[in-house]
Amino acid sequence: MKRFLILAAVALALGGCANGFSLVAGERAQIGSTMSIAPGGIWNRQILGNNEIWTLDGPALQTLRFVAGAAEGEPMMPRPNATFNEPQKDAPKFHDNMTPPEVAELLVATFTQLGANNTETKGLKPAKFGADDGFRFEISYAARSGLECQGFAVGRIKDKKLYMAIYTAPKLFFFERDRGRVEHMIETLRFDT
Amino acid sequence: MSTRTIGAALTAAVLAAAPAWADMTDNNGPGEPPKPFEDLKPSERPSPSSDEAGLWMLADRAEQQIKTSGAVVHDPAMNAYVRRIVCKLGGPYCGDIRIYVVRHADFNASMMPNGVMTVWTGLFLRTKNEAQLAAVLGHEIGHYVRRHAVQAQRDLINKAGANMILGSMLGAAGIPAGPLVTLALIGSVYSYSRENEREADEVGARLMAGAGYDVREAAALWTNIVAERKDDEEEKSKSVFFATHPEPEERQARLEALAKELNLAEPMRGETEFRAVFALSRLGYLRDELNLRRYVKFGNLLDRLETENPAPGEIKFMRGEMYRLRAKDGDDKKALESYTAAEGLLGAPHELLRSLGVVQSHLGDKAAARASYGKYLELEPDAEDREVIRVMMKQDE
Amino acid sequence: MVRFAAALKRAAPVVALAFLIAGCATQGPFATAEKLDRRAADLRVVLMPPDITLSELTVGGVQEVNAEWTAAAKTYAQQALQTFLQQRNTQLVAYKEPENADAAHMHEQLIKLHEAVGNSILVHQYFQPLQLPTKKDKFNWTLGDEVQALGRDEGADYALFVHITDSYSSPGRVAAQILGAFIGVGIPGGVQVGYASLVDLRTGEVIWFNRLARASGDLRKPDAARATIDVLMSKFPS
Repeated sequence: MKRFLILAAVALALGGCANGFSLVAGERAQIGSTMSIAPGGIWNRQILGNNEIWTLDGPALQTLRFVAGAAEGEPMMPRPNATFNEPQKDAPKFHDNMTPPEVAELLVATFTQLGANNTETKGLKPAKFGADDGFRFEISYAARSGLECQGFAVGRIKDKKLYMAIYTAPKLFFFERDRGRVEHMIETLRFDT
Repeated sequence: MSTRTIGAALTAAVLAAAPAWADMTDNNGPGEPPKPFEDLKPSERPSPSSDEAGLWMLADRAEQQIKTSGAVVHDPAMNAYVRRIVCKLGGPYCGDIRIYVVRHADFNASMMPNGVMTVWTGLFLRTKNEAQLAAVLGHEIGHYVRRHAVQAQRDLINKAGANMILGSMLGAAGIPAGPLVTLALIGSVYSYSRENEREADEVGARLMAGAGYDVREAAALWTNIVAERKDDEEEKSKSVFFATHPEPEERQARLEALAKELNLAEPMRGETEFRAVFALSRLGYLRDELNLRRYVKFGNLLDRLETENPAPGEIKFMRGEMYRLRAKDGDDKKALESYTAAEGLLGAPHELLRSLGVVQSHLGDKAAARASYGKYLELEPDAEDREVIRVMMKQDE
Repeated sequence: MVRFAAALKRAAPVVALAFLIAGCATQGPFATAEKLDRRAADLRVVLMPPDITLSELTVGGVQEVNAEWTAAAKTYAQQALQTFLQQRNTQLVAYKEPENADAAHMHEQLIKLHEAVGNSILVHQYFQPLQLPTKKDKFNWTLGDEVQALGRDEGADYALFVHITDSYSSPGRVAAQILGAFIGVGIPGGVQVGYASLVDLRTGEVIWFNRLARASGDLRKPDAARATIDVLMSKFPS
């Protein structure tokens, strides 16, 4: 029965040609219920649970992912239950007593489980997450095809929840092209409290 | 040992293992020594219109993807070492076999119909010495020489799609092959029968003996593998090796018997050089295993490595890491105990102090955490994360 | 109810296919220029190693790869492309793998990058449920200027990529593409995937792209191959 409903939902979605991405532009955009950011141009965005994926040319060519408050016991990147066979219980989880090195470990474990190869982080250092104190680190990995990719992540644990902005793109051309723009955007992140 | 001697030993091994195959080498005159399988020579490829050609084509594509995947380990010393063992075992087939060491946790090695051998780095954690490594490589060469994979896949090319076969070749090689390639698929496409397993074991044992290795080590290896899988509920659903190699009954007993029959006068185990080749990589491979997050299996693996005692500090440190990452109730305390036990022992890395600080911080002992971080920074003044550690030290004041 | 659900389960891939072909796919081919830049007297297009796999749908309903057809297809496709371009005063040269290891690695990465771009075009330009709003009514895709290395090493002004292969993915995977896409994008639907693209090796821009529709194409024989290539290369810049 469940399978039937899932298939029906997918069929309906396809039949209606429902669009998975929406446009985001303007002065400020809300991310989740607690953060906002200045988009600095036009982006395509997709919301998946407490994650948002922003992209210009498609996630394989660049992904700016926001983690908008993962709580104790939750994974960094949620999976849509209907479409993945692996249950959520296998995903590496965030714990609210984690230190920044442990958050970097969590990202490596998460990427690895999703199929990235040779995921590594380096350069972990204190940094501003918007206006607040946080940390950042650099990321390198290879996509499933072997395409080499690069990225960086900025994060903060606030009120026992994990907030992150993770930017990844192929090393060739794409990472550098929008890196500056993304850094500017992250500077404009604010918590609405 | 000269190539000729190896060749003769190989042929003898192959023939002795399966008399039924003797007629395959009947293409020589009376009184002439039987030749190895002619159809395995490098220059010979299946004719393009044969269904076997499709398999070779897929295997060649798989090889291309493996080469460019970024997962291949290029360490020259390691590759030379593995190659030497393969050539000691495989003699005239040595030139046909292209070896790829793939950075991947867990125990696996596989061969494709076109002579590509892939060995996962996780394998090097399960083999105690060169003889045990030779046992696995010899076993795979046995499958290859007997063309077991071709037999299995020839049947399946009618049932499974090309992409699925390619995907399972890649999966067995340790290269991500896409979401459709499940373990069940790899197992169904790329699997050997129990009869094939026995044959490969026997050929492998004969090759080992012929090369001067102690065949008893093959039995010891499998005993260790079985022990590691004990109590691990996920093993059935996650092990690529055992999805593709069903366990034949009484494998250890049979190998012990073969050892008695085949072992030369002073058979070699080769522990010293083996340890030297992998000494510096072991910690990284243990990390890869821990990243699989299968804690029962990892604990079993550490238990065995602890008895071998190559670097006790390293093992106890990784046990601490295991508890820290598992993060169940009481695990922070267990991690603390392991780290404390590891301190000062051979192989304990400096990062132990950072992990120690983290669990001390979790346990509320801020002063101890600060002291551990401080010691870490003293030993690693250029640590990449030194600024973050200093911030953490301030926060713990 | 149970029987209907089971029937729908079997029908789902076909259902998804129908949507894919009929309603939810924008057409193409896409081209950003009608003409090639012929400033250089001797215009050379390098044909990148064609990624072609031909399979046959057996009575049992599975795709069986055919090595002979695939080898033939690669030859005929290459010949047909040569002819097609010669008729348009353009020289097609074969790809030469570089000897130097660093250059070879760079080429490999560029080819993988093109694969990511090509797949992104299929998923986010053609396929409406996942079309990016910023790509609507536009076609601006690029590999970036690092392709100049390819141009220098092969002595070519443009690179032509041809990718014809069978690819299967359940309809349920469609929505999941986004999540894992930053790690490797996949193709939705259950259609035969075929496309050709032309990349300007001075800028990296994809200046022409066409998707091969499922029904067309037989590359196994020279005449049929020529006809297929003519369709594939429709609206190719002159």
